[in-house]
Amino acid sequence: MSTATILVSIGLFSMSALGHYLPQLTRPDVFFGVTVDPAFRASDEARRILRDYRIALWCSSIAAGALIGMLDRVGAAFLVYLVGACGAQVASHRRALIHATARSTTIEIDLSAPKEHIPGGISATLLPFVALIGLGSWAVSHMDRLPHRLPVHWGFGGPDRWVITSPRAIIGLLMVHAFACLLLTASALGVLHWSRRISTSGPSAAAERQFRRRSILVILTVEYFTIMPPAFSLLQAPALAIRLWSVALLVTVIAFVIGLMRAGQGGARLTTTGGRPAGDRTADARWIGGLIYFNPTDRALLVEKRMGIGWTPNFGNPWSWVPLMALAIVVGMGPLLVREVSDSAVSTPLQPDNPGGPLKSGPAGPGTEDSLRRYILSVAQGSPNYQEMSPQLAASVNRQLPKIKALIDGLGELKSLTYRGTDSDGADVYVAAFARGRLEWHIGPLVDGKVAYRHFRPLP
Amino acid sequence: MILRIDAESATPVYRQIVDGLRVALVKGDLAPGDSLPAVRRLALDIGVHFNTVAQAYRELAREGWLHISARGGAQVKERSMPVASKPEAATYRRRIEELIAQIQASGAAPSSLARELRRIAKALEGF
Repeated sequence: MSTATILVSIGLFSMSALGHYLPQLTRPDVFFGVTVDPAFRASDEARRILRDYRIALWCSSIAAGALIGMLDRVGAAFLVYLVGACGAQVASHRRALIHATARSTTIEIDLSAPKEHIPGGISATLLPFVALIGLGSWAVSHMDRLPHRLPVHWGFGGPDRWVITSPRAIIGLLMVHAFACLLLTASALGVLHWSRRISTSGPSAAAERQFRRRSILVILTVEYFTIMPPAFSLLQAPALAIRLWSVALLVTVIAFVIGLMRAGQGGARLTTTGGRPAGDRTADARWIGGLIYFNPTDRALLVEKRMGIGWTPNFGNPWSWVPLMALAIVVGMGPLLVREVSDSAVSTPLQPDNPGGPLKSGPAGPGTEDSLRRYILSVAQGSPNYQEMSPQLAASVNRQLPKIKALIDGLGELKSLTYRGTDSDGADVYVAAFARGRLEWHIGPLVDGKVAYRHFRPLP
Repeated sequence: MILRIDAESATPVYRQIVDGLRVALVKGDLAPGDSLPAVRRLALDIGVHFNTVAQAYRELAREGWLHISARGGAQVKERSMPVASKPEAATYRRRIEELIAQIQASGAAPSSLARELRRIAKALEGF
């Protein structure tokens, strides 16, 4: 079982464990998305609903785990899990609806409630953008100090995708991160200004304010973490930095989330709720399956989730679709940006960024030697084996084929291929001896049998 | 200071906001210089359109209680007490009688209602 499969399985188990406890994190008067009497939770019927939900959830998880373990079908596994978990939630919601109680129609507003602000003020949310602009300005004005290519993606073994250094690539890289920061800023402001307050006075209102503040702090913290990878890339930080960054991000987010889970939805577990209006100021009828809120007459962009903690968009408010559509556009454009990046990464393959740099000893990656040998022979024959390359590399090789073929034809017949070690990027390094010269090849690990990264330089 | 709104009441929400705030203003729970929640904030929390709250604020501003800023904020301002004209006094008397009749019709005992009216009258004498 590969490391990636193990990590996916751990992720699946974590999601199931989280789903197991989600019904307990909501407000006491909301049960599977239905407004109920808080005492209902302790009833036999509520316990039965909760038990059946958990059984269905874990069955889905086991089925998904089996798909991963036996067939290595990660996508299908997640689909099975998603359908099972959502089905369990919707079925429980329907059973709970029979026990719904009328929500209070009396709304209390504390006119003297303290005004809430973004922790650190608006400058705290803008600072990451200033940092990105500063980083970009520095990088563009110091192009000569930057390496030939910049890592933009890291795998378990270090960087696995790069861009060729250029002003356009740097700006593109920073823009992607700036947009992520923008979405996070919008989320923080949405929680602060466009979500409804439920508790109005006393300890419950104070707990709710504390919960909101902590949630915004999580978002802002993630925003600051978001600007670090491009800084690592441009400042040529060692691979250890990105590993430490990953661990720090994971630990920070988990710590925050555990704190929020302990507080419960809207801080409801921090204090008793006696005397407050029942429900969360939304109507049960406006919730689809207890998961999706759709109310065109409600001006709130965000409302408290009825399953777990946090907020969910009011899909009935057209404005709530704007950030979602923006996100969809960026995700949709992602592959285009990546292709652009990958194309440029291999479009000038003749000069590795660390020619003659120190090599690490160790075995060659599986299949790299055979792959390289097949590639050289196929180019010599005039028909490169594109089927063994990633689409981006294949496009790049196709563009440069006349140049590469002319070079290899000029060197004559391939005599030997000798493995030398791995470079600082984790690529295997080979020396190819031809009848009339030598080339040094760097080839990255094969992904699904295909080469995504490969370049070479002539040797004296 | 808590403002209570009944979403199911026959009285429009805008009228409930005006009445609730006016009670607080007359009793002095809201003093000159105090800021009220922004229109958007209050509308979101109650669950009504922004115009509903804006209309209520405008009405109180017309009565001289509030100063409304261009950004939707509202602040309580000093207000000189006007003298009610005779037709207005007659209108208020009729409304009080209608309200008392409504309370009696709902089953409230006249004696307890009288006690409550005496308590209110006593509180008014303090002004």
